[in-house]
Amino acid sequence: MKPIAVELQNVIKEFSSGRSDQARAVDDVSLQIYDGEFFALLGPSGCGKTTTLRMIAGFEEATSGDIRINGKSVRYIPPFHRPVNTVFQDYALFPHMTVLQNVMFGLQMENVSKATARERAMEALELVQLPQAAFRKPRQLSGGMQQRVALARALVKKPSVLLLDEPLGALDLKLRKAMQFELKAMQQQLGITFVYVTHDQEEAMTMADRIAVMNKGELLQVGSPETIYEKPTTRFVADFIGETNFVEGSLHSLGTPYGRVLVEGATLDAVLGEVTAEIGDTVTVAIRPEKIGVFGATGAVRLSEGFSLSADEFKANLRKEPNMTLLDGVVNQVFYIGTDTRYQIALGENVEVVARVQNFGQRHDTIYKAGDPICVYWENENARILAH
Amino acid sequence: MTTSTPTMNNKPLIRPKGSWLAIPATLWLLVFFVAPLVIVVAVSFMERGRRGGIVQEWTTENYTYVDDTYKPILERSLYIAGYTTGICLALGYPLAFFISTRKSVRMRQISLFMVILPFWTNFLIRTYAWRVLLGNEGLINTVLLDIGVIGKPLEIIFTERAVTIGMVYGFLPFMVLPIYASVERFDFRLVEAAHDLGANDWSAFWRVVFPLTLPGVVAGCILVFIPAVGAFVTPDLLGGRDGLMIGNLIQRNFRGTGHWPRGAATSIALMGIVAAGLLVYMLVVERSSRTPRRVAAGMEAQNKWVATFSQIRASVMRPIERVTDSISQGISTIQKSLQLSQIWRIRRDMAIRWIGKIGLWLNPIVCYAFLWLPIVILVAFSFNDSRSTNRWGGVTTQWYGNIFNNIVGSEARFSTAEMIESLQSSMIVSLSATAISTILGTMIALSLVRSRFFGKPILNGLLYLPVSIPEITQGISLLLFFNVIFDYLERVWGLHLAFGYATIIAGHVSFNISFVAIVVQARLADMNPRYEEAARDLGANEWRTFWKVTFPLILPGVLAGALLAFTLSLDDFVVTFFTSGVGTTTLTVFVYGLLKLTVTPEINAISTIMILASTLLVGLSLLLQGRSTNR
Repeated sequence: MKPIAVELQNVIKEFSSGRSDQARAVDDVSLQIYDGEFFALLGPSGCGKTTTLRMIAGFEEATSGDIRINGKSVRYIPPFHRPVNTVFQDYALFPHMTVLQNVMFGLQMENVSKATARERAMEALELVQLPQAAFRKPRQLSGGMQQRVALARALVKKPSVLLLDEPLGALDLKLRKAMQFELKAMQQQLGITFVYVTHDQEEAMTMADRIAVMNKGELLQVGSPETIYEKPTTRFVADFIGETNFVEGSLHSLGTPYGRVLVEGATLDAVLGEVTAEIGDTVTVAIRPEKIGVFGATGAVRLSEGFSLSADEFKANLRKEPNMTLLDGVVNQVFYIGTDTRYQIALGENVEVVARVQNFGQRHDTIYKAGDPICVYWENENARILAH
Repeated sequence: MTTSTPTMNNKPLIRPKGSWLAIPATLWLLVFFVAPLVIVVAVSFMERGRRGGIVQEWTTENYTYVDDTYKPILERSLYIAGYTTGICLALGYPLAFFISTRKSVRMRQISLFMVILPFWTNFLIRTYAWRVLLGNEGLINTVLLDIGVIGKPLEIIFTERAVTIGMVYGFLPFMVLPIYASVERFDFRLVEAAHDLGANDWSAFWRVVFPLTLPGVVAGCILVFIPAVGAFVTPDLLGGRDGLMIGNLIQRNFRGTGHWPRGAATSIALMGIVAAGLLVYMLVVERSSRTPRRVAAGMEAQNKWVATFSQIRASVMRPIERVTDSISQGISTIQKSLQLSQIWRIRRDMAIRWIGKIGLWLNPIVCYAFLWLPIVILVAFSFNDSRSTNRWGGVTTQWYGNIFNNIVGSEARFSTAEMIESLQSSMIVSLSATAISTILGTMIALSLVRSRFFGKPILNGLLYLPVSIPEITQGISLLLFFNVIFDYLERVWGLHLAFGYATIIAGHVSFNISFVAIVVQARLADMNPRYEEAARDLGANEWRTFWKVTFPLILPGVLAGALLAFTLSLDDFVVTFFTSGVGTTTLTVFVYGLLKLTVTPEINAISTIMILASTLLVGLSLLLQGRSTNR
């Protein structure tokens, strides 16, 4: 077992908001963040992720529960005595100090001599590639540069855990992408634990070793990006991370690993996972659009250069495969997106799914039109039953 | 992050050619403000006539006299003003902090209002209230004697201490308001950032909060120091012989068988002190923190003045920074040598936090009591059925009745008719001064915001001058000016003119123009020029654009400016005192005459009526302002 850097034990945070409705900003969250890990707290705004981060930093006090950093409870320890540092959302650089003074500030608070502080601050600025801006004031810098200064200011203290509160939120898309890779590289190089708050699922997926998804103060799922994406345990997680089709039906039978769901007369087999549902319950089957294959119900299906089958032959082949779902439908709408084509396909009266088909090249691709009869198929292990 | 680009966008594409609008106000200020100051300078180098007045003989003797004879009092004025400023800062900073950190908007408004309201009570009345409290048989001494804290009465009244207390009371809001403004703008996330980087409350305050609110602190200090060093009313009513200040010396030289040239020279000395104070303000406070737009514009123009200015500033600040740096280095070496263990450092920092919290709670209690007790006691004693100023004898309204039956005090120099007459005079003066200054002030504000012309920065500076010069200097400069002019007119054309309404109004307008212009300017600067462009685009000419679009939009600002002018004019004592003539006694001059006499219950009653009147007036103005901002 890896050593644990930060541990939350049944942490609850209630804000007494004058009125009687005591909203729980953080509701009984327990989690462990390992040493040297890039950990992302992901969720929509107001889900409690920032409050969680602020409790680790010490700006908020938990209503109940315990927070441990490096094994020690920090319950009564003010932020200025915790071995963590924060990169703030809008950077919170001191406007009256130069960049260098900003970076030196934390060292001077540790009573490091001025000469040493200056030396270490310059090193930190070099790490973020900004030594040339040392004598400028924060407001003279661009957003991206301010972000780097904020990073240097926190890293210079050599914290055992670095907390980042949506640090890239104020940057434009291109810069954000570049910074994502840079941050990840920096984290791997320094080996510091990063706790990273974001509402951007793509950002979390790109950088994090593990992701904790939160909603309405509750911790829904913790896992690696792959686990979160491929094996979501709740409808919220499946919906929040990436795009998903949800098909509702009633649970017909339970099995391992597949359960069977009745949808408008048809049966769908999907992975049951850890869902606790009884036969007859309404459940949701989730399937990612890119996991769905399509081919025209009439005409030929081209499988590779110079090799094609008729649609009926292909269907028959697919039916022979175990654990494969094959359904007929009609194209409702088509969106050409460039990298792929998006089809909205009606499978029944009230059932519509989205399939994303990658575009390889004009010579190979068949683009179907609205109204075309179409067949869809997927492997059952890619469909998951989620509690309703 | 705001950058300088919005400034560019806010510039109206069509610039109304309105520079002429500045002319009337500029002329007024040149004639009734600048010229009188020039005359003060000139007179300070002249000799006194045999029967008072001045003789055109040049001499520097007046300055030698001031240096020889008045020096102790100049020094005393300086340190009384210094103490006053220091105490105001010590009380006002935490108070401003308390107010601006209230979470609900309503609490913030109420706590701010509680500071401002006493401030809108007439200055004379507020000072008088302390005379009631501090006297040898005043309430404070009586209570302290009764509970046995002291054996004999404390001699506070007619000392420097009384003057300091009175001035702290009078000027505390001047300290609180600018600090409040800068603390309110302060981003408290920076405190979290400082904590995060290991700063305890003490370090976070001194290294982050204080430097960033310094502009407000310096502005507050200047706003307190200037009127304090040139004070005349407070030392006059509370100071006695031991509490004499420069203001009293100046006034004495201009009343009765005074020595005008000496008074003028003293006034110049006072202005020198004030100018030094203002210089410190300009050097310490970065201009950017006050008017970011103007600085951005200055940078764009590669203004070499800005560059020179910042160089001078740096040369002043560097030694200061060096000293503070070495102090903090010293502290940190001490801390290092102590090598507290972490648990003790946490305990120490928690202790600091609690001390700070307790201080922040105690301070407002003390301040509000200090601000309100004198007024409450004054009002209470106006209903006291006893002539005593320290014993409660039941409730009566007889003192209110006395006011209207010509019975006030034993001197019996009081006449109800005179009081009513003075009220009428006040109204004539205030209404005329308000009307003139509102029109002229709005015009100059329009031209300063909306057009560009040669000498505009100088004009801006000129507008701020009347606000930053001691009232007494303005008063005596007008006195000298009108004397010189009237003399000249009589000698050359045989015209006989005398001090009266016109002279008072001229004086009031010259300080009110600035206030109106500053308020209207702020409103105009906030206004989106696109509205005017839209009107022009839709075919309105300049004249119709102004009356149909611009004027309705700036009207709340104009009204606020007019109301401020009216209140200031009604409240003014010093300028009126020096520019009024026979038969034009205003209410404040009348009340001053009464207050000089003695402390009587009837005066408490008059004061209570005035407090009530000004409260109503302020209430009305807030209502108007509230309505205009809610729109």
